Amino acid sequence: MMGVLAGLLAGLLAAAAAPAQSPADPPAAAAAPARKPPVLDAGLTAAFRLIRTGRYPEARRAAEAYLAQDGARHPGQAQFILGLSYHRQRLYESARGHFVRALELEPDYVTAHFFHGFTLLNLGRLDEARAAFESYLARGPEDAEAVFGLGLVALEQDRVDDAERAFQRAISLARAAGMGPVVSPDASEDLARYHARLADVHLRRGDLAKARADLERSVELWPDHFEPWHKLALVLRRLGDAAGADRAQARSDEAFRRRTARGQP
Amino acid sequence: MRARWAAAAIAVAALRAALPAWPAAVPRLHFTDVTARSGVDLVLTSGRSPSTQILEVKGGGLALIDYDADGDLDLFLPNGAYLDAPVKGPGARLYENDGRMRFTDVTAGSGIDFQGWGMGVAVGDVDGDGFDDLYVAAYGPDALLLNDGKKRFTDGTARAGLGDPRWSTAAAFGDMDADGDLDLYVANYVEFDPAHPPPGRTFFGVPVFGGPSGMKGVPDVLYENVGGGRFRDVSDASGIAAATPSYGLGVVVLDFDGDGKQDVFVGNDSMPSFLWVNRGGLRFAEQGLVAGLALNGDGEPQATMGIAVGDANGDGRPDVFTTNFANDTNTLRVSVPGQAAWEDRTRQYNLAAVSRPFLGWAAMFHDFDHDADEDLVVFNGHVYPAAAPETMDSTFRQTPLLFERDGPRFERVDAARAGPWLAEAHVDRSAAFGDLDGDGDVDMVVGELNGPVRLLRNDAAGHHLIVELTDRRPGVGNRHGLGSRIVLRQGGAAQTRWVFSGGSFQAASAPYAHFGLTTGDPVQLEVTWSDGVRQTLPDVRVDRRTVVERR
Repeated sequence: MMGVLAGLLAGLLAAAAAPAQSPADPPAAAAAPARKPPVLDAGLTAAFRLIRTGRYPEARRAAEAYLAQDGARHPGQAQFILGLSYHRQRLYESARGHFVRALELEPDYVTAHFFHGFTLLNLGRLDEARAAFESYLARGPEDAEAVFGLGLVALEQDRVDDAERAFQRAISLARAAGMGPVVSPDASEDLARYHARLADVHLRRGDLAKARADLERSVELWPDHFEPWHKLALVLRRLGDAAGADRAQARSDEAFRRRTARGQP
Repeated sequence: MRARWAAAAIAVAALRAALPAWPAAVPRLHFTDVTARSGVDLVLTSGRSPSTQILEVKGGGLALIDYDADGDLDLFLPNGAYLDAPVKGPGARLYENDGRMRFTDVTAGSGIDFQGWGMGVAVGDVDGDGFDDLYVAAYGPDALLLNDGKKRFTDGTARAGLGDPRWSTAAAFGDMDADGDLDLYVANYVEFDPAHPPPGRTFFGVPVFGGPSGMKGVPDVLYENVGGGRFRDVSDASGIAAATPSYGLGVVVLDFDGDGKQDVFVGNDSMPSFLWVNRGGLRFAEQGLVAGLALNGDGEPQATMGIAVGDANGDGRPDVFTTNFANDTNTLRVSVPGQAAWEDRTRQYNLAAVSRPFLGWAAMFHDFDHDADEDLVVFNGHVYPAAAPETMDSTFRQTPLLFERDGPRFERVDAARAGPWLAEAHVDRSAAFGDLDGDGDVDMVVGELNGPVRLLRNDAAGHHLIVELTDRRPGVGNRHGLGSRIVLRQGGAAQTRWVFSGGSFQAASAPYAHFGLTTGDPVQLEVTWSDGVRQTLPDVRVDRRTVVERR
């Protein structure tokens, strides 16, 4: 989710950094819920910046201070910030409650639907995750990562055709959004993830040739990702290319070691 | 020795002849906690509570063993110890079953005097005298407890050439050289000194005890049974010693690749797991990565605590389910058609996302509700006492997970259907499986970290068959046929089970195969013994326990 997530967060930050609306202005999200980017209340900008720098407890304190104000204009957004702080820490159960409250308070604050969807997916609440992604897509632009989220849910539920459609759509959207053929590193990684999951669909069906093609595209887009290299090794071995499989596995091992050395989970 | 075995066999046969043919009824997936009236009253010891070091969170094995050869399964609990006295704990316990799931503590007078920090247990007749013995993997010297058939055990560790003083976590028997006796694989964990524990670390930003990451792994050991209950360390000659010393937590001995020789799957904690493929002549090659069993499908090593073996994809070959850490998923690897390979199909079978909040330990496939497919149970509990939703997105105490096989997928069952036990959160570790009350279904015994042992009675009805293998050939110690495969055919359907040593977590379960059936019609059985020899029984009556004797 790195590229799209970074974009979403950057968008939120840009909105937050924009000149503060006068108290008389209606919130943009409420005025035009369908197609405008979410705008974060200026009073939550500091909390959001703290999340971006990994200072989650401080971010929560800032959001709670905002909520404690008399007449806080966007308590739903504050709940979203609280949820986002937990989401970024991978504390999904804690995040879920805040996203639920955020959406009760401001159901058209679309970004909350997006993160709520991934939170629910990580908690194994698949039907709810699907509904959250669909809510997000119904309220905002057709976003590649949300469509990808729907594909992940479909894969977990073994709705293979739905998963394939979603991953192919995510790839199309990502490309149309300017991710390809020359793409930024983050966007390239997102596209690589979409191809890797599309390969999962092919593997589920036993179509090794298609799986190989998508995995080769994935490692081309993101050579430092261990996962598609490992899957490519499995596919090549099943296709009888033991030497190619060994090479791919070596790349996977190397990428995994680098990731571990960086302290990534 | 042979006379003693023959006498016991006659007694068992007589008892079995008296067993009733159970009535058929509607399948029901339901268990009742009968601990309070079972007579089992042990609270397991595993250091302090709350735990402060890695040694305190890994233990709690248990074993089902028919120690008195009366036809029912008795219960052995090795128990743990304390950090300041790791070889002087409260001691192991032995409970005798009256056949109706009521147990009597018979430790006193049994000769069992194991006070070490017990972990995994393996059960097998190592000296071929007709009575099952016990091997206890331990932090500190392992122990071999020899059953003399007169309700007495003696410590045969030193005489057998065993007693590895390092931290062993799990053990399994199997006839790996196909000579009829039981060889032994012991999975070892890490080098650890309670006086000098590894530095603490953080998990989700919360300070926790250190390990296993950064600790020195201890190599596993393969022992060849050289006869008379004596063993020889063949780790070097077999190729086992060539592996990177890893953090072994579980082991299963079984013919995974179907070539008629017993292989070994070892679950390693946070490191690639091993598949030791038997090349014959007690030579093994590590093929975990090539076979798809070393890592999950995404290429990551996992914590790999528990191991369950079943036939999830119905192709007659063993599939492997492993339990893992919280914030990760459990993993089901199913066999690839036509290849000695497995692939991660956890999502396809609906076992991935549901497991993410749980830290899994013991697990096993069984047809708990007698509807002719294998269900799955997983027992859970965190290692960090500080675990909470707001700190680690998990909890310290966790409920078990019970899945019913429903067509192509497993579906989680809730407590409203399966009983209140499923809603109770514990810090579980080990579990053993077998028919403890003689009603033909599979009951469970569960061991909790620093908690009471629980007995869960299966309330299933329906048709079923328990198949017990017996090999009474002279000199054969593998008398239960450990490592054998049994295919049952009824109508146009086939089911496959394996009788094996190891698996679950640190547990020894009943040494027989259990089948649930949709009708009461006779079945055909095809047994492939552990050395590849096949035997077919064409017309076997069901709703009973049947004994298949090797010809």
